[in-house]
Amino acid sequence: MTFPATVIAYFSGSGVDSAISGNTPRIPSPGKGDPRPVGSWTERFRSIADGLRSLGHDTEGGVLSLGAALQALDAKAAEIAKTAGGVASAMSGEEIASSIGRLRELLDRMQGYLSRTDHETGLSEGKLRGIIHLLGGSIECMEGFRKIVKKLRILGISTRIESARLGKEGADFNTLAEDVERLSVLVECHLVEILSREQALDRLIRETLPRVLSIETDQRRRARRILDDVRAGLSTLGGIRDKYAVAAKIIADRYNRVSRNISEIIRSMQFHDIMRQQVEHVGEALEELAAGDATENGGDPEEEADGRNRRIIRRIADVCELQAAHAENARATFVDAVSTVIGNLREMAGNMARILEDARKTADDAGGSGETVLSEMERSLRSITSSLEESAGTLRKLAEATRSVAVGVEEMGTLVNDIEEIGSEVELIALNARVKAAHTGGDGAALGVLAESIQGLSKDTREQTAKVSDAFQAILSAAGELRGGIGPSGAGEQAESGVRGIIGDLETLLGELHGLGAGVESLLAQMEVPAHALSSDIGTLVAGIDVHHTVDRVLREAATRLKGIEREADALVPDHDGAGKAGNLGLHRARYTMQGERRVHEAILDTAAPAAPADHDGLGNNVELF
Amino acid sequence: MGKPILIVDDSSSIRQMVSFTLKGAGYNVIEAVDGRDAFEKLQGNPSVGMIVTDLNMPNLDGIGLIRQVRASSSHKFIPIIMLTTESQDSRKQEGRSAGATGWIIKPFKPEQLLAVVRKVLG
Amino acid sequence: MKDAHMTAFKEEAYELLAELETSLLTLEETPDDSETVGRVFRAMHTIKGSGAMFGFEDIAAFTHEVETVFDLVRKGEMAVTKELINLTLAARDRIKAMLDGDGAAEDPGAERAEAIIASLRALLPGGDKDAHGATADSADPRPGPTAEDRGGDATFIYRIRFKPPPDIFLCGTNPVGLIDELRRMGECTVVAETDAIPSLDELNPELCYVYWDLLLSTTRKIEAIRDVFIFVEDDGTLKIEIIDEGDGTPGDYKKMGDILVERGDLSPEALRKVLGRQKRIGEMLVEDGLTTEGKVQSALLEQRQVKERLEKRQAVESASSIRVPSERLDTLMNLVGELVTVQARFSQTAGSRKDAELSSIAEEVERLTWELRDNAMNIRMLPIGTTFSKFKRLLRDLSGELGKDIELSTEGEETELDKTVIEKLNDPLVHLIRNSIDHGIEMPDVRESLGKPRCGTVHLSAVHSGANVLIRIRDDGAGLDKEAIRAKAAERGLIAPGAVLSDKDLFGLVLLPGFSTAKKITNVSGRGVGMDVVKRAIEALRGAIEIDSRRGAGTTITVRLPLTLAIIDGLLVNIGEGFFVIPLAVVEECVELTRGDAARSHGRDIANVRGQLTPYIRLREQFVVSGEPPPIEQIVITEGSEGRVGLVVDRVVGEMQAVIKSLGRVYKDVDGVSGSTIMGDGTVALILDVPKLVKTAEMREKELI
Repeated sequence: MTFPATVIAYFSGSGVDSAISGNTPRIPSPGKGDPRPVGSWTERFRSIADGLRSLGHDTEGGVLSLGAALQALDAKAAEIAKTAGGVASAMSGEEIASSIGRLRELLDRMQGYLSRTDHETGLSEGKLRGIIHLLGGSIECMEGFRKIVKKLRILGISTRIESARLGKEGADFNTLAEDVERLSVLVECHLVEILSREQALDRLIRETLPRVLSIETDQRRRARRILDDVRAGLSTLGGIRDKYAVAAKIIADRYNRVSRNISEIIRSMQFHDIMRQQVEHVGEALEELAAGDATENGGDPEEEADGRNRRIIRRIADVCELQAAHAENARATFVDAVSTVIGNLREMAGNMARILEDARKTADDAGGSGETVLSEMERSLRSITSSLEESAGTLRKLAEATRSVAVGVEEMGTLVNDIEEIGSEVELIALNARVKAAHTGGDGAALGVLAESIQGLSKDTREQTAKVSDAFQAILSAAGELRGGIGPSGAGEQAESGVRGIIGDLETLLGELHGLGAGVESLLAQMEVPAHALSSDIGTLVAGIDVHHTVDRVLREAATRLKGIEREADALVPDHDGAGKAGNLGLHRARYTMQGERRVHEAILDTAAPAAPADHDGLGNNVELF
Repeated sequence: MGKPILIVDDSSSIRQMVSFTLKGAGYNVIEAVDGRDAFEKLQGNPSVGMIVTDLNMPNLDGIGLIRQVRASSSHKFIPIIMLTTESQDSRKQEGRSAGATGWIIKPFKPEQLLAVVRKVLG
Repeated sequence: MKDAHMTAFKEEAYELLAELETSLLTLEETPDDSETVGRVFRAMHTIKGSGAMFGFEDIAAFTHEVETVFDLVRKGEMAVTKELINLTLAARDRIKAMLDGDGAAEDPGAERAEAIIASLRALLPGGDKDAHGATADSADPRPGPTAEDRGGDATFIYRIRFKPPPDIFLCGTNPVGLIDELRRMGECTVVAETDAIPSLDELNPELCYVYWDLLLSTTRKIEAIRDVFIFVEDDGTLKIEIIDEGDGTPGDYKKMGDILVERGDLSPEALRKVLGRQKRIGEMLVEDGLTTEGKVQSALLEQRQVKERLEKRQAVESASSIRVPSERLDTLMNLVGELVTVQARFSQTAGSRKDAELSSIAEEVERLTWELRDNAMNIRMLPIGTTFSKFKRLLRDLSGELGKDIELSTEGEETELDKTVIEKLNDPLVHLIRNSIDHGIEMPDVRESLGKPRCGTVHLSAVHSGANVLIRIRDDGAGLDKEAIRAKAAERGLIAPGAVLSDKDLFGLVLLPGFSTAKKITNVSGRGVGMDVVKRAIEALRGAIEIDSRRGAGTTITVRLPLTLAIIDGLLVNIGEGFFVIPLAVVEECVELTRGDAARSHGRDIANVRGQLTPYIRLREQFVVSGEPPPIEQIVITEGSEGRVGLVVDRVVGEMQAVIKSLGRVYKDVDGVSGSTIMGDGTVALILDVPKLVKTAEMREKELI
C-alpha cells in the first residue's frame, strides 16, 4: 500500500513547502521552547520514513520465496508420509489382516478336520459299542418271538379243532388254521437264521473295537501338537501386525504434527503483510510530522507563540514515543513470527526424520525378526503337513476296519424285512379272523374267541416286531453311518484331498508373507532418499532465512532514532502530567485498523484494552460470519 | 473440484498463503491483485463460486468490490468473505451492509479459512 | 490393493444383479413366495453393504431405497405388485448402469434414478411422505456427527421455524444450503411457508419471502442445529423447540388445533371460537330455519321410542321352534364329525399320558361329544310318516286305475330316519308299493274267489331295530311264484338248472338286473327297470332288501336301513400316501398279493384265492396313485352283487368307524368314491363305493378289449 494522497492532504494544514523549508513557528521564550530542533527533526523524520518505506517491498521477495519453498516442502512431506503410512498399513492393514485371517481360517479348517476325525473315531467307537448293545437287545426280542411261535402253534391247532367241529360253516377257518401253522414254521426258521448272524456279528465287532481305540489315541496326540504349532504362528503374525498398527498410528500422529507445523507457518507468514502495514502506518505518521504542524488547524488563535511551540514539541515527543513503540511492536511481532516459522520448519524436519525412523525401526523390528518368524512358521507348517498326512493315513486304516463291520450288519438288513413281513402277516390273519367271525354270526361264537386270540397275538407280534425292527433299524442305521462317515470310498480320500488342499494353502500363504516383507523393504528404500533430502532442504531453507534480520535491523534503528528525537523533545519540553498525550495522539487512533496497533496505542495512553470478543461460532475469534 | 474461488489481495505473500491453503484442500483458485482486477476476472469466470477479498487495496477496495459484485447481474448472490487485518466493528458493519458474507481477520489459520469456505460453499 | 477389491466388489455385484433379475421374474409368477422375496432383499442388502464399503456411495444410497421397500414386503407390510416388480427391475438396471459407469461424478442417469426412487416411495404404505429426507439421511457422504455434539442415543424431534432476512441472498448465503445441512442430521420434513410472498407487482425477485417450518428427528443437540444458522441468526428469525425428548415416554399425539396454538400460529381464543362453532345437527338445522325446535324435539322422541321398541322386539323373538336351512345342518354335522375325530385323537393321547386328571377330562369330553353327536343327528331326523301319507294318494290313484280295491294301513309313522335317507327312500318305496299293487294284490273278484276279502291290504310299517330301521311293505296278495322265478332264472342263465336254493336266495334272484316276471308290461310296473334298480338304490343308502313270500298269502318286503348315513363300519386301507375306507359289509377277507403271485397270473388281474380265481382291481391304478407299490400288496376280497372282486391295496390298516363327510364338488364326479372321512390324526380317507368301482373297472376292461 502506498500513502494515499488524501491522507497527506488531510494532515498538511500549513502546506508541505513551509515544513520542508524549516519555516517553523517562532518560539518567543528561548530556553523553554527553542524552535531550532524542530527543523532538524523534520529531516530526520523524512529519512526514517524513507528507510521504512521500502522495507515491506524489499523483504517481500524473501518471504515469497520462503512461501514457495514451503509449498514444495509440504508436497514432499505429504508424499513421504504417504509412503511411510503405506509401509505401516501394508503390514498392519489388509494384507496382513487377510493373511492372519486366512491362517486363522486354516486353523479352523484343521481344527474342524481334526475334530471331525476325532468325532468320527469317537462316533465309530460309540457306534460299534452301540451295535453290540443293540445286538444284545435284539437277541432278547428274539426270545419274545419264541413265545409267539409257541402260541401260534397252539392257536393253529385250536382253530383246526374248532373248524372241524363246525363242519361246513367253519370251512373258512380251516384255511385260517393253515395260515397260522405255516406262519409259525416261518418264524422259527427266521429266528434261527437271525440268531446265528447276530452272534457272528458280535464277534466281529468285539475284534474291531480295540484297533479303532488305539488309532484314536494316536490321533488325539498328533492333533494337539498340530494345533499348538499353528497357534504359535498365528500369534507371531498377530504380533507383527500389532507393531505395525502402532507404527501406523504413530506415523499418522507425526504427520498430523507436520500438518500443524505447516498450518502454523502459514499463519506466521502473514505477519509480513501485517508488519508492512504497520510500518506503513508509522511512515505515514512520520511523513505527517515532517510535513508540518497538523494540530495548527485545531489551535487557539489567541495562544502565545511560546505556548504553541511547546505544544508542538510536546506533540512531537509523544508521536515519536508512539511510533517508536509501533516500530518496536512491528519488529518484535515479525521477528517472532519468523522465528515461529523457523521453529516450525525445524520441528517439521524433526518430525519427518522421526517418521522415517519409526517406519525403519518398525520394519527392522518386525522384519528383522521377520525372517526368523517366517522360517519358524515354515517349520511349523512342515510339521503340520506331516501330521496331517499321518492322520489321513490313520483315517484310512480306520475306514477299512469299520467297513467290514458295516458290511456284516448290512447283510442282516434283509432279515429285518422278513421280520416285518411276519408281523404284517399275523395282523392280516387276525383281521380275517374277525371279518369271518362277524360274517359267521351266532354259530361262529367260538371262532370269535379264537379270532380275538389271534388278534391279541397279532398285537403281541406287532409289538415284538416293532421292537425287533427298531433294534435292527438302529443297527442298520448305525452301520450305515459307520460306512457313510468313514466308508472306504468317502472319508479316507476326502481326508487326503483335504490335507493336500490345506498344505497347498499354507505354502501359498508363506510365499505371500515373504513377498510382503520384500514389499516393505522396497517401500522403505523408496522413502529414504526423499526424506533425507527433505531434512537437508529444510536445513538449507532455515539457514537462508534472513528477512527477519533486515526487518529487525531497520525497525530497531528506526525505533532508536525515534526514541532519540523523543528524548530531545522531552528534554526541551518535559511532560509533567501526560495530560496532553491523549490529545496529541488522538488523531492517530483513526489510522490503527489492526487490533495489535490499537493495543500499542492504548498501552502508550495507558487505557485498558477491551476484552476480546467471545468465539461464538467455533471458527475462532478472528472470524465472523454475517 | 467444484467451483473456483477468487482470492483478492494486493499483497502477493498473502495471496500465496491463501492460495496454498485452498489448493492444498483441493480447491481451484483464481488470484486478483485488487478490486478492479477481481471484478474483471469475475466477468471472465462465471463459474466462480466464492470470493475471498482483502479490504484495503488500490484502485478498488474490498467494500467497493462487494458493492460492484452485488450490483452486478452475474454474481449478485455469490458468497464473499473479507480477509483483512482490519478489525474495527464499524468497518465490519460497513462490510456487512455492503453484503459481505463473513469477515476473517488476518492472520488466519488455514483450518479456519477452510472451515469457512466449506460452510459457505456448502 | 484397493483396485483389486473394487474389481471383486463389481464381480460380486454383477452376480447379485443377475440373481436379482431371476428372482424378480420368479417373484412375478409367485408373488407370495416369501423365500424369493428374501432372496431379493438379501441381494439388495449385500449390494448396498459392499457398495458402501468400497466407496460406491451413490449405488449404496440408491440400493438402500429399494431395499427399504423390500424390507416392508418381507415383513408382509406390502404386497408384491406388478408395478413393484417393474420398478425394481428398472432399479436393477440402474444399479448396473452405475456399476458400468464406475461411479463417475457426472452421471447422466441420475435423474432416472431419482424418478425410480420417487415411484418406489409412492408405493410405500402411507405414500410419498418425504421425497428427499430419507435420501439425505442415508446418503450423507460427510463424516457423521462428532461424539460431543451427539446427544447420545436419544432421538429428539425439533420443531424449527427459520425465517431468513429478506436480503439473505445479497449476503451470498443460500438458505437451501442451510436446510440441506439440517436434512443431513436426520429424518426431516420441510414445509415451505409461502404466505409472506407478496403479489407479483410488489414482488422483488431478489428477496427471500419464503420461510420454512421443519421437523427434524436427530440425535444431535440443539446447539448443533443453532450452529447451522450461524450466518443469519442475527437478522432472521430462528425458533427451535424440542417437541419430543426421545426419552421413550409415548406422549399423546396432539390435535391439530393444539399444535397450531403451540407453534404460535393460532391463538387459543381463536381455536376455542372455531371449535365452538361445531354444533349438533339439530341445533344447526334450527339455527338455519330449516325446522323448528319442537319438531326436533319430536324427532328426538321418536328416535328414542324406536330404539326402545327395537330392544323389546329382540327380547320377544326367541320362539319355540325354528326353521333352519338344511345346509346349516350339514355344516353342523360336518363340524360334529370333525369334533368326533378330534375327540378320538384327544382320548387316544390322553390315554397314553397316564395322567388321571387328563383322562377324566378326556372321558367327559368324550361323553359330551357323543351326546352332541346324537343330538346333532337327531336334528336331522324326520319321522317317516310324511312319506307314508304320500303313498295313500298313490295307492288310491293306482287302485282306481287298475280296478282293484286296496286299503293302506301304516304303522310306526313316528319312526325317525335321517332326512337324506327319507328323501332317497321315496322312489324305491314307490316302486315296491307299485309292485305290490300291480303284481301282488289280485283283482277283487279273484280275491273273493280265493276266500279273501275283496279289499286287499298293503301294510306299511317302520320300526327301529338297533342301529337300523326296518321298513316293511306287506301285502296280502298272490305272493311270489317260486317255480316261475326258478324257471326264469334258469332261462336267463342266472342259476344252474336244478340248483338247490334257499327261499331267501331264490327270492333274491328277483332283485337281479334284467329279471322281471311280469307277464305283460303295464303302466305301473315291468318297464324293464326291475327290482334291481330298487336294490341298487337301497344299497346306495347302505341298506339291504329282503323278500319273503308265501304263495297265495302275500309278500313281505323288508328294507333294512342304517339310522344315519353319517357313520359307517369300514376297513381302512392304505395306498401310497392316501387312505381309503372299504365298507366292512362287503369285505370277505384279506390276503397277500406278492409280486410273484401277480407275475404268475400272466398280466391278467386275477388271483388264486384259496383255489378260487378271483379278479382284482388295482386301486393304485384306479386312483392313479404315484409311486411304486410295496413288494407285497394286499387284496381285500369283497363280495357284492357283482360277485367276488379283490381290491389291491398297499396295506390293510384295520377296522374303523368312519364318520362320513360328503365330498366337495371336486370329487363329485369321481367314480367309485361315495364320501370321505377324517381319521384320528387329521388325515382324510376316501370311502369307496365298491359296486360302482367294480362297474367302472369292468367298463374300462371292456373298452380295452
